[in-house]
Amino acid sequence: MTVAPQDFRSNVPGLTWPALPDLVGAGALALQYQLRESEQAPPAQIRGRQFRQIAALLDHSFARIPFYRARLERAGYAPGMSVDEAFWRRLPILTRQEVQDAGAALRAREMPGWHGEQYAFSSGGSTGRPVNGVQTELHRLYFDAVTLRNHLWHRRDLTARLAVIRFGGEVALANGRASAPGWNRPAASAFRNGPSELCDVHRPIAEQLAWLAEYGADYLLTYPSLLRELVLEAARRGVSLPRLRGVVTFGEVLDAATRALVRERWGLAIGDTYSATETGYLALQCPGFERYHVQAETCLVEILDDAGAPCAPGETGRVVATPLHNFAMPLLRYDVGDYAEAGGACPCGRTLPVLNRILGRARNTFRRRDGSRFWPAGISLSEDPVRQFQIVETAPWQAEARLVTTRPLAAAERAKAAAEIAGALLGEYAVRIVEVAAIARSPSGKYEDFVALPPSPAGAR
Amino acid sequence: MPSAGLLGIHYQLAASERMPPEAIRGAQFRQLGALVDHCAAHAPIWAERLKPLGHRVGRQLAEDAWRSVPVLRRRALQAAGDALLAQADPPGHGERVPFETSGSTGAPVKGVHSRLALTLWNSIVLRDHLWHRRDLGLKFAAIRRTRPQRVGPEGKTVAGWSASLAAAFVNGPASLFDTNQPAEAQAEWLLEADPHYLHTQPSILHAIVLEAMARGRKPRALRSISTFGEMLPAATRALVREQWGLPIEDIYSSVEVGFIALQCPAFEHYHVQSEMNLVEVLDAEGKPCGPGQVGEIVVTPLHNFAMPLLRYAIGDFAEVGPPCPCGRGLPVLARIVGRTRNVMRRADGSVVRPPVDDLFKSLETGILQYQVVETSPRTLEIRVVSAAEIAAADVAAILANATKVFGPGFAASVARVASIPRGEGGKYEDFVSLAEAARQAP
Repeated sequence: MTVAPQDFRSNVPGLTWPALPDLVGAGALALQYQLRESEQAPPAQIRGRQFRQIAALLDHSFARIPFYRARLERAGYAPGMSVDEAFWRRLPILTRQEVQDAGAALRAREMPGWHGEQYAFSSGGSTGRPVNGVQTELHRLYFDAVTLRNHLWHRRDLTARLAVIRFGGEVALANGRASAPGWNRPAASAFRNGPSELCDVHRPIAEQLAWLAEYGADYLLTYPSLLRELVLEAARRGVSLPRLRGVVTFGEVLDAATRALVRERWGLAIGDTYSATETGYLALQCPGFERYHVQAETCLVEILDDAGAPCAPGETGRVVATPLHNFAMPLLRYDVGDYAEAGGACPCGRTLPVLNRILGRARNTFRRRDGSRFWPAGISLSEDPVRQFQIVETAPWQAEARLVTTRPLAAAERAKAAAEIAGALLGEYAVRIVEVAAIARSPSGKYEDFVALPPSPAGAR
Repeated sequence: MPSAGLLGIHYQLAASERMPPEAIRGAQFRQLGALVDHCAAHAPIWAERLKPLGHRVGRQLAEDAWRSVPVLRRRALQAAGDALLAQADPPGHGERVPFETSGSTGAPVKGVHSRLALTLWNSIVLRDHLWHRRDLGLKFAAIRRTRPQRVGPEGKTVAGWSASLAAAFVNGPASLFDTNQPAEAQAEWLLEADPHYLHTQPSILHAIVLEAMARGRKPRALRSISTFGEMLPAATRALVREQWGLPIEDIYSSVEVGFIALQCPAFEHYHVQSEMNLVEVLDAEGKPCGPGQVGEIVVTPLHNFAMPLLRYAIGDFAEVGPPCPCGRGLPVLARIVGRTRNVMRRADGSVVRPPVDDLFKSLETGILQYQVVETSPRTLEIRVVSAAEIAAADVAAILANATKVFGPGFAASVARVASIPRGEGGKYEDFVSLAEAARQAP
């Protein structure tokens, strides 16, 4: 993660080393300085610092947000008290539905000191009813710091070109494109930083691939599902991307099959990230291993079992997150809706908590006959002519595999695909292959490989 | 300075100290190139001195050619006065802050620092604390030059070790006491203040330890001591270790150029602060010394554009060390040997700092302080402060030791004196060569 001295940006004429960047850049370096120290601190110390930050967040929430005041009082909270594990567990989990129902009641009536402007967000996901809220400039400052940490961890060349394919929103022009002189403002202020370009996720795949090749991207940032499509499209068209040095994924679950596909076809390792619109970053892939380090400086992440107790390494539980710096709309113990496997200590030397795997949302789980749930995995369908797939549970132990293909499948190809999918569903499901013209992404550009039935009220499925 | 600036610089320093030496050198010469460009445009006296370099503005500076720039001696600096100042400073370098050295060796050196240069020095203060793992939340004490209007004879306690540290960190209090107070008062004050860390000159520290011993007391909370401003004698290190069981972490700096080297956290040698100063150690012919060789220190501060000092012979000698096993790529000085007037020149032209401590080993008489003065070539006067008359056997032993240390051919005498006066800056010297000082005079 060492940046060469000449790659720091100095804002003072005549001063090249050590550099003094502008205020944004100096702030960015100051945060990186602290992050680099804290990622190696003893776990108990990291936890202590989190609870001190949470104490400030709770005092604020208690004083300025009646919704939380009531919750905190019920949990036995008094302003100014120090927060420990025992108290923290008494605080109830906040569900997505509660956040949706509470609406503006979760927002602070006043803000302490400088937390900057507030920005509205809407987390559409693919479930229909979005979660709406606000985040502060301070929250974004920490978000950007973790973005930069991710690049530094993975030793990306900050002077290179970054291509981004994601939801363009208000940023993209009518042609779905946008460009910036840097990767983000802190990176461009603190370092000699290459340009970045964006292409909207909803543009046709052929156009995205052509753009990527023409732009000559060194790094690509996009959703795992789109990455898979790009790799397959490039293979079909015989397009190569000789400059591409690295790929960063976000926004969806990255499965082993996509990792393998990108490694095999493009010879590249993926650096995955785990974030949510409501919370910001939860974890970044370790630079040394295919596991994840919780971004403990910006978010308290808990992996809890069905009884609400913390999972031990190797156990899978739901992800509950508390962003530490969004005082405009605190989310205290927010159930993100995902499942992840807790991990043990990482040999890389970073002491930030470990997640072995991110498994995805509850609605991406399928069921065994004994009622236990599992996340299907291992479907590559990487051979022509399959270009996209989505497996939908249509009835208990019945699945429909929707395939988008470049030409009609031969009988043998259908059988092969059905067998691969049935295997991924552990042989528990009858699989029906359906060829469709397209599988729509959600408005935010995300896409789910596996969609299960919601649990029946009686829990009988 | 905004606290983010300090941490932002430190983010870079934490990385650069571990870079390979050639990468450090490359970064230094890029910065030096910017300084040379500035001199060529805004400092005529320097533009003239730079002519042999044949440098063209904006071009990468060649390291070999750098040695063609003449060395500036202290007396030349004093004589040039304000002519050394740049006619204009680049934007963002801040106001000019005047400085004046203590003048322990005669006339003081006067000049200006830019605010920018001083800001960057603060980052080395922080580096020193972090290298030596000092807990910034604890109590710090300094015995140093103070301004009488700010710190009275009873000392003063302030919040924070410095403004920039207190802005960036949870920072404990600092107590200040003046260097010119008598040793008894300093010792009493220190025992009373009971800080966790002490920062002072080696000779002050030495005297305080002796004073505390005389009272049969020790500081209770003290964890470590940092020294500055003078050469640190091995005897002071040994005394502090024996009496107080504490390590000393030495700092090599000067008023004119700031931080030159800091003691390594793992060893008793020093790492050059290459991010601040280009430091050369040169032999009698002006060639770089190798490990084990003692040479003259020539410093080029990289950031003081208000008053550039290109190849300034600061008047000290040091021994170059081999690369350090601690993993830092910053060059190593094995020892700071002392000032020009504190070294002896051998017949072959090489210079040494005589191990004066060796003269006073295993004596019956309690020796409080000593100084060896080379009053004229090959004539030594050994001055000793002691509570009682020096035993005849001890005089003989001192003279016998002197023959071992200095070699034959010296006329040596021992004189008991009431005290050994410090220089104006409160600096204590265990060896003074009036002969060498005269030789260096223009």
